[in-house]
Amino acid sequence: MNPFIVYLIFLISVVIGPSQLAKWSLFVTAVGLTAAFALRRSFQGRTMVLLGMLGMMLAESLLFVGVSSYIDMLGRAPAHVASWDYFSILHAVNLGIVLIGGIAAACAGLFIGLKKTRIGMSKMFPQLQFLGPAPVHVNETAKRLACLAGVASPNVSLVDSGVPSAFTVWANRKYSVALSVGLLESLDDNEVEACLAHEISHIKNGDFTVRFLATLAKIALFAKPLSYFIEPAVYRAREFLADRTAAQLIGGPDALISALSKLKDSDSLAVTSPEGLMCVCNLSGGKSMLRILDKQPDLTTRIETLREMKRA
Amino acid sequence: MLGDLESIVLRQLWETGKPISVKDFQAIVTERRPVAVTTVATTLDRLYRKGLVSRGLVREGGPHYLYKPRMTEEEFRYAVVDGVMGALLESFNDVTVAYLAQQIGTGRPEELRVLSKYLNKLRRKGSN
Repeated sequence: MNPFIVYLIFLISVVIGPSQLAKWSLFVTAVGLTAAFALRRSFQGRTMVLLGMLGMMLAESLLFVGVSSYIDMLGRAPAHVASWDYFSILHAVNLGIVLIGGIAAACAGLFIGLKKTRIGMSKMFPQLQFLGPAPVHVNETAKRLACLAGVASPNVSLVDSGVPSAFTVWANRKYSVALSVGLLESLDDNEVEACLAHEISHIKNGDFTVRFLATLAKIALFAKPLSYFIEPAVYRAREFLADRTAAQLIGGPDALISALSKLKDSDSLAVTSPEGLMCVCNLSGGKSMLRILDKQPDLTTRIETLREMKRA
Repeated sequence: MLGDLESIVLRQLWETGKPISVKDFQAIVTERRPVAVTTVATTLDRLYRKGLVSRGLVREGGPHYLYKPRMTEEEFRYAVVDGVMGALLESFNDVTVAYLAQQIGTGRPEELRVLSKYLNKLRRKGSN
């Protein structure tokens, strides 16, 4: 995010903001974006700012409905609103939007919750064929890393795919990490360990909860375009954070850099990977026209960030 | 139908002639064109999804696939021509037949011999 754009938003908000509330919301946006930019090296802090912005936007929507209901009750429109009818319509529309958003978010939450807890991995991803547990040494590595990270050790299973990929899901009240055969056959043991560490870092950092909250907020705020940019930004920040935590778990970023570099080599091929997963290597990442809408940061940026970490 | 790398990989598979792992295969392909092992894995997976190669999972020595072609080079060529010509004959029958007749008319004598043999066979079938 270019600071210039942030100040432009700020300037516009002050000069041509149509109402006090719009000015306030633009001001909050500008401050939030500035903070998110300033915290680009601290991914935890960045996540907090972005989630905070979503929270503020939610609170603001509710507040607006609350205030307008109160004025409605008093039976008189504020001075700057020309006609009473106009205000009633505005109020009704706002109430409708907040209600629809709330109901949509509740349904989505219920659906995602049910899907994640009740259904096994093979049912969650019918397009993927699971080949049972991963080899013993891989499971032992996962156990060791989980112990280091202080989380319950996840099941590690094999996916029948030649495309190198790894992802984590929450199924049957337990985290499961899935590695494709393609990943195991093209990376060496250290690189596989680095991929496992990345997935376990997602579990350690509570990324399922963070992403769940961001997605719910986005659904509830469906009428606010900004939320469509904030949600993927949260996802991206969590990927960088998982890389950093993984490097700490395995005692240095070298193996992860090497794994990501190898994955980058096959990145030139357009490959689709299952949507909505925590991937160590979403190969389709960084392909979208608008990078700010991508949920996965591109591999080059991830490798560069890890190299910076090594230098620091 | 096939990408550049896909056709290189498939041709190499025909040359190799036995089931082969991604790592061994990458070592062979790299001699012709430097390519990452992950790229080879992804390309073979794509060929597998297109139904052009088959693979078997081996668990010993770390899980890996052994890939082999599902058809010979001849069969593959026939399948390509069959697919393209079938679609053309279905959509633009008259034009395609006219084009073929014109092209073969200017072709080599052996092509004409093969064609007249085939036509005779068809005629015999028709008269029976």
